[in-house]
Amino acid sequence: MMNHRPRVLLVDNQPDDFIPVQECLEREGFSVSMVTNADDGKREMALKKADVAIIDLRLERDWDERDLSGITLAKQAEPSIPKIIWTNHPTIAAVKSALGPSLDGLPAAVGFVSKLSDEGLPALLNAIRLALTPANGQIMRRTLQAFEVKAPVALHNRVEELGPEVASERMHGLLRDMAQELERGRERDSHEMLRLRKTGIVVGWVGTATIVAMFPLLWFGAIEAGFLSAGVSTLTNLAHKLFAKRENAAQDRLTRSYMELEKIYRTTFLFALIESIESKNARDACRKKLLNHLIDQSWLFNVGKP
Amino acid sequence: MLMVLLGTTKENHWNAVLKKALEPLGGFDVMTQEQLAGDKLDSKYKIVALDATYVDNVERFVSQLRNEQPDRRIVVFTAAPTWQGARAAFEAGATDYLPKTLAQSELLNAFREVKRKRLPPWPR
Repeated sequence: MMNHRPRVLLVDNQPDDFIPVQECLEREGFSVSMVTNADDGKREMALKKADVAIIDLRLERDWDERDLSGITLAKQAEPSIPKIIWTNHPTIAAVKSALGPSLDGLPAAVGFVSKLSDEGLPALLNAIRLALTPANGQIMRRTLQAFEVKAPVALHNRVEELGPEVASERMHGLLRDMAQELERGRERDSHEMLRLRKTGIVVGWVGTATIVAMFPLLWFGAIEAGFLSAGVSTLTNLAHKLFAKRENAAQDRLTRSYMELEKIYRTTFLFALIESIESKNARDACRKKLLNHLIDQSWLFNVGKP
Repeated sequence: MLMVLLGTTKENHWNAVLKKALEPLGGFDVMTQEQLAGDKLDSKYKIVALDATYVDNVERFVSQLRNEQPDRRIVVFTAAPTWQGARAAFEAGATDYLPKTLAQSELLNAFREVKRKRLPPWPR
């Protein structure tokens, strides 16, 4: 999970197209930068100034249907940055070039979204969130396993196939398991924080005691004692910084666990509430609505996001 | 590499065209989705051609096939190609998405390229 605002790089030769996209992404908590040509885009990505890049399909000649310069940029630019092709001219050939495996095995982009009104910004946002989800993201991986699918795109169909009752049982069960694991992790992190704090205090006391013990020797002019106390002081300082760093990391994990648990408990409460509805039809309708909401709103990908 | 066409086993003009086109690559077996009946496809088939006309829920089936065997190449054939269909197929793990063309040389070239391609890591 990222602690900073995810950085989105927009590469489009039509700056007018940027403004609504930029406003929307910034409202959603992304930090947005923009360039208007492939060279600048490649340079920004080489400097790893983005977590995800949105690239216009036609960067050179908007009127030319053979212009696939956006995909060329996606292929050439820093491979560790996921790219999404964003276009007014979606075609099968463009999708194949963008998402199909090339000869080296890797697709040029991870997403392909139409700028036209049938998709537009909501689809772009969804694609960005998917692109930012780590491939082994725990929650996503577990959800895909629970629903026996391999790609998030297949989740809706799977819910349809299983039916609302079975699908919501699976999701509910998954959330319960994850809550238990998070609780266990939270306990481990609390213990670790306590242990690190205690060890830090002990190290601090030992260091101080050693330095104090050197004072009588220093008084009698033993220069080695001076070097020794300076050394002990530096070591104590370093150890203190190391423990503080690990303690902060455990604290971060704890904070994230609390946020994830809060979302999970809120959702399990909704599932439990739905189970109390008497009419089967109404119950199924609510189950379906909640499941689709969880998938559509990318709730699964947002857990832990501040 | 052994190939299988998942579609229809009935006499069919397009099946005949594909069979003729792929003869230089060793031909292929034909099977229906019903014949699989939820079982796993034999792992000897490294290339699967999937006729979207005769397969229910193509995306789900593609991801299931890739899931069973990540080094499997999957080609989706459709009589009504759309860019949205292509996107869904690739996102589900397809190696290629092709219209049901009758040009044998195009079909042969497409399959030669599919054989040459390395596959991306799965799941993405």
